[in-house]
Amino acid sequence: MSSDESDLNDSDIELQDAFADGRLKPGLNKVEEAPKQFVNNVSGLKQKIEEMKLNLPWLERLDCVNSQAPLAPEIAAQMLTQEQKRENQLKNNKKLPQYTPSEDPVLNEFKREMIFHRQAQATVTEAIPKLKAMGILTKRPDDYFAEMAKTDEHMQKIRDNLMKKEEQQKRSERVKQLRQQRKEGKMLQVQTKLQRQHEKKEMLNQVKKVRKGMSKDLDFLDGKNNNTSKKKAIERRKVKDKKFGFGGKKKGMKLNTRDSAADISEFRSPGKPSKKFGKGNMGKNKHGSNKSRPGKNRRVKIKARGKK
Amino acid sequence: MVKSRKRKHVETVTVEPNPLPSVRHSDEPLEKKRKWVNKQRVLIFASRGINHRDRHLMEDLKKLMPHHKPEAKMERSKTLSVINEMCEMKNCNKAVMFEGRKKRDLYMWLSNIPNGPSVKFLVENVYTMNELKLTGNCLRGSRPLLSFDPAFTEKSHYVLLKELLTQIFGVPKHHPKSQPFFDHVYTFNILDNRIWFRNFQILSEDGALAEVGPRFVLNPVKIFSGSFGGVPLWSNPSYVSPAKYQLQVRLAAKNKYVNRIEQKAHAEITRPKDSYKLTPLEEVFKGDPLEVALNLENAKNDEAVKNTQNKVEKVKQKMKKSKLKKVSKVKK
Repeated sequence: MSSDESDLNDSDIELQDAFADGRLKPGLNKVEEAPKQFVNNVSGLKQKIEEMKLNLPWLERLDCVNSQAPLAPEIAAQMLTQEQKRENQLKNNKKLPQYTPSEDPVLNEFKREMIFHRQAQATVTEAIPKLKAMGILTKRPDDYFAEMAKTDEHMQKIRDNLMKKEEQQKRSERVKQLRQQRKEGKMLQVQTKLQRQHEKKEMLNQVKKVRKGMSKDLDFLDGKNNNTSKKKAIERRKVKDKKFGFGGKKKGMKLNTRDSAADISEFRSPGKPSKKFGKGNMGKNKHGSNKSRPGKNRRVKIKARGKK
Repeated sequence: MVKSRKRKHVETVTVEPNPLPSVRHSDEPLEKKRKWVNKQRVLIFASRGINHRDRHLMEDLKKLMPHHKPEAKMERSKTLSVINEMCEMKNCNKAVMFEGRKKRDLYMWLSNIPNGPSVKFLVENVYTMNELKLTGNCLRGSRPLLSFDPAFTEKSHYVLLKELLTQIFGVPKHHPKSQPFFDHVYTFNILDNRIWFRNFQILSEDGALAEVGPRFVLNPVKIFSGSFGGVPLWSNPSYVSPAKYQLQVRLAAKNKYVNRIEQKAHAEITRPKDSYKLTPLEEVFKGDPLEVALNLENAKNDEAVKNTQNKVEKVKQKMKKSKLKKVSKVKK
């Protein structure tokens, strides 16, 4: 207790001195921590290494220190496709967080894993021949069955998963293809339509020229008939034109012509009105009843009789 | 087939050039043929409080290391120096101890048992062997090739780590539970001041590989001279503890809120009163032309505001009168 108190007193005195000197300002003061010291005792480390080292041949240890294997061309291609794919993904979906290629975590992961892969490859290509040179067999025979790190059940699961992924990939590819085809078909349609319009316009222009007497060659008519597919259609059109007529006003063409005026097939002599289909049948007596309407004179007489 | 292969190995070893002595006593014990030289035994266990994923990682390591010995979970209350005694009891000269904190952070101790050194790592980015994307498979207990990054030879603490890793992860030759084939590689790479561990299956010997797993990243924290204790020989200057990291993240989030509020306040203060500086001439033909004209004048000389207002009223009255006169004239 007493030592604590003396400590407190000491620090108080120190503070008071500091305040008197003007090193301590009024207000909240914070204790400044000394920067953390990081140990790096190289000689101690080396000594420890010497202590723990086992003097065993390489075959007991199997450690290799090597740099990465050269990048295989197919892996380089894979990397490139990955980069492009990633770029497309980011371009097509602006909702995704946008990265520059050097900062992209996905690409970076891919590259990093590639580094590890190549490192392992280098070790394999170096160590296996070394083992072979020592006369040690490295591969196991095909009929050697032993417990594996992963069970068969688990491997089956992995296989199923792979298959499923592959199928999904295929499906998406097919859908993509269909979409592309549809797009192309539409384009083609529009193009042919435009071309036909253009052709028709040109044809009409030429016809106009001929009609105005500016040119006299009718080759363009033949030129159009060149393609056999249209030939049939044109022939059919001609037949139809012959049968039904082509061009001009069609409405009322057959009304009140000379022929129609001359046609008297419907005429009946007024002297003999037919009893059944007489003109006088009206209203109720439509269907040829026997009661015919009397003539005017008679009707007047009947009327006069009734008044009287 | 298998057995015959094994026998072959035995034969190659037993062939000895020196001739046997002519007389041999019957009670003389047979000289043992020692093939299993590198007798590393690794105690792998965890302290209480690790989460399921980390436990799976531990199980994976056990599967891959035939020279391990299991141990029940250690109580947290026990000091780490107890582990030395545990290892002695189990006849182990290496230890891998997993220590979980808050069911989230995993620390891994690697130690050379009787007299050190020992290393404490923070384990990050753990993927166990059960991940479906890791498609490779290897024999349980075959000897792995250990592949190290060239950076492991540069600095002394990395050299020490390399030695410790090879002794712990390398399967001893002729270990009774091991298989005499080479079908996987462990890679230890140094990236970003951390050690990245990967395990690849060798599909073909020209370098075709498939990853088996597990994956993890070891972030070294401290190297001690003794086993689970002693003087620290090296400590990682770039290490940030997970708790501290979380704190930083939280502080950043806090500052984000404060910043936003400050920005809003600032915007409120500095917001311009007029959205756009309109030229008064644009509205010359709107409303009463006279009034507009006078207003323009008002804007020019602010001092005479009151006078002009009076004038406007007077002028308006006049206008009204004149209009009335006109109307009356029309009526007449």
